[in-house]
Amino acid sequence: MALNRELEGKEYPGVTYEVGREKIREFAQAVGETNPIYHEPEAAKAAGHPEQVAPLTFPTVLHLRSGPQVVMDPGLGLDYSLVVHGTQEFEYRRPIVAGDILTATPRIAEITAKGPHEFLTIETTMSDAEGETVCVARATLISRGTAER
Amino acid sequence: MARRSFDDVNVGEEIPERSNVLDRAQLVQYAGASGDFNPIHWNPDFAQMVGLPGVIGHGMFTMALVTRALAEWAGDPGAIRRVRVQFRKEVLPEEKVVAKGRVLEKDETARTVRLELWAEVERDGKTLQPIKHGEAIVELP
Repeated sequence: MALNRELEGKEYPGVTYEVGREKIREFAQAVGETNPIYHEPEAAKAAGHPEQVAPLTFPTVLHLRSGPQVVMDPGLGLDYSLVVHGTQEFEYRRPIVAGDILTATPRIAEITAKGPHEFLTIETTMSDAEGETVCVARATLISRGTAER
Repeated sequence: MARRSFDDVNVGEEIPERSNVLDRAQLVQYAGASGDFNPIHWNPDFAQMVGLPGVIGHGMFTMALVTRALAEWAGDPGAIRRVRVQFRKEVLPEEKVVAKGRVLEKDETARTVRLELWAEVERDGKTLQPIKHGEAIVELP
């Protein structure tokens, strides 16, 4: 079944996440980052950052929390067992650091088709407590074989 | 990490490679740390049921290796303005993934550098690219 194109542009409720030092350490360890700026607040400060820095793919932790409401939206008609992750993009305005309270707000940016497949792009804007955008993530999911022929 | 200066960057230069041999413990550790508990990454029976040879690595784990190479080249993760990758092939346990990159162009006005990024694995005598056509924009002092 094809995806519901009428949902293009739909925005979903924001999910708020507090970035903790231990979570950053745990993530940095899991991805093999050994640079002390990801592990020790003092090392990050010595390098000119306000606090312990999150690795570049850390925003995935946030959009894995805000994204399920999109992919499980019954109105969208996505069968998650047919989905593969096609592309991932991050646009950074500043590094994410420990102590940030971020709100991740997803929207369906685009639904397109190419051949038998459909392409769903979810854009997630992550803003800090002051309302400033910190990072914008764009994930394109490939829904295999669901395009209308 | 020393911050790279814009003037020291040459178009065509390659960034130092970073590599990782994927093991199953890393799959489980990454699942827990990221919150991506898709069973194709830890349950071999499920992975085979959906047509995979077995459990496969998280695409985002490979992206993390690529962005590590990028940030270490730049000398500061805060220099990265944008990064985008395409996931093309799965990575299997015990495979060595090598993250690579090359400078494509320099924008003298914005003092930004555009790079191409990709990741390679060797399988059955062939070089495959789990990540292909990756691109990054880096702003350097």
